[in-house]
Amino acid sequence: MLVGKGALSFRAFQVSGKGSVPTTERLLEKLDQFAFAGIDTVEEGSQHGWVGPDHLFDGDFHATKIFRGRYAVFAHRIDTRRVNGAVLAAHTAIALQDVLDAEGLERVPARRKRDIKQEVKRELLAETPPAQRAYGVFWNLRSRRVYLQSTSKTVIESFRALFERSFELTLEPSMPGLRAAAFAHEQGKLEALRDARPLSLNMIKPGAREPELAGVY
Amino acid sequence: MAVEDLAFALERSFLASEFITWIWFRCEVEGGTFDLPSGGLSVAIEDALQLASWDDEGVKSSLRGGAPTRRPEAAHALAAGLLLSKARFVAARAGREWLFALDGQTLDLTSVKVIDAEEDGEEPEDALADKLAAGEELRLAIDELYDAFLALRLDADWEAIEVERLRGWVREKVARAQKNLSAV
Repeated sequence: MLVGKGALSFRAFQVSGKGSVPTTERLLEKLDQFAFAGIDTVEEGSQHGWVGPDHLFDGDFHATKIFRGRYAVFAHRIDTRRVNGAVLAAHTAIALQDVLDAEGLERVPARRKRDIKQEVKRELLAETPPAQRAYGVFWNLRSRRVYLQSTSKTVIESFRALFERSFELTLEPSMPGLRAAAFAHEQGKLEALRDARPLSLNMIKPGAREPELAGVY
Repeated sequence: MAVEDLAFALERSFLASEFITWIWFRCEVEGGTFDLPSGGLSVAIEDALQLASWDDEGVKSSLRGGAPTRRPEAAHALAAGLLLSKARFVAARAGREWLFALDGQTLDLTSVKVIDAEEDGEEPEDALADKLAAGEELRLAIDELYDAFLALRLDADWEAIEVERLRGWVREKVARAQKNLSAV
C-alpha cells in the first residue's frame, strides 16, 4: 500500500477554486484521464501521472478502492530516466579512443565529439531503466485539504502541477509564512507582521572575542 | 497569490523556528499543555534537537539522546542566539499519542507515528482511514497551536512580556548549566 505506509511524512495543501469538492464521478474520471501512462524510452527526463493507492502499477481507480472514510486516496507516480554523468563520460572517452585508434587520428574534431557523445547517450538511455517512485495522496474532500506524502521540493512542485491541471483547482501549500500572512490578514494584524523582525535571544556580550554570556558569567 | 504576497510570506518564514522554540519554552516553563479549539493537547520534546542561527554565519548544532533539552550544550546554543530548527516531539490527547518530527523551516510533519490506547481488542473498521485521520488531526492541532503563537507574536506586548520571559528562561537554563559544570 502506497498511501499511509509506515510513519507518515507529509505536506498539507488547501484546495480552492470552482468546484473544490468534486463529485465522485468527476474525481474518478480525472484520475483515469491523467493516469500514469509510461515513460518515453529514448528521451532523458521524467513523466508523472496518477496511480491507484496500492502499488506502482495500480491502474484501478474504482470507487470502493479510492474512497476510504472521509478521504479519497491515490498516488502520484514520477518516473525519471537519466544517464549518470560519470558513466556517460567514461563511455564517451572509450568511444573517442576507439575512433582515434581506428582512424589513426591525433584528435577528434569538436563537432564529431558532440555527435559521438549524443550517440553514446542514446545507447545508454535505451539500456537505463527509469527510477520509479510513487507518493501517497489523501484528500479530505469535506475540509478541502489534500496531503502529499512527501516533503521534497521537486516532488511537491510536480504534484501541484499535476493536481491543478487534472482537477482544474488551485493548491495552496500550508507554509509558516503563508499561514502567518493569512492569520494576520484575518486578525487585522498585517502591520504587526510587516514589522516583525527575527527573535534574538543572543546573550553574547557585544564585541566579545570568545562567547561570554552577558549577565551569567 | 501575487508574487509580492508570496515574497512577503516567505520573508516571514523565520516565525517557524521561533514557534518551535516557543513550544520548547512553554513545555519547560508551563508544562506543555495547550488549550486549543479542537481540545487540549499535551506536548513534549522527545529527542533529536537541531538548533540553527538566522544570521549569515548559519551556525548549526545538533543534540541527540540523553534528555538533550536539559544538556548544557542546548542552553548555551540558545544563549548564543540559535533557535530550534528541528526536533522530535511527543504529543497526546484523549487516549492517542503521536511521535513526530517538526521542521522549523516548513512546519512539515515527518515520521509521524500514532499510538492509540487499546480499546477492548476492538478492530478498527478501516485502519487506513483511521491512520490518515490521526495524521490530519495532528496537523490541525499543530496549525491551531501555531495560530495561538501568532496571536502572541503579533501582539503589541510580544517584546515586553513574552520575549522577556523567553530571555529569562534562557538565562535560567544557562545558570543551571553553569552551576552543574561548576559542581564538577
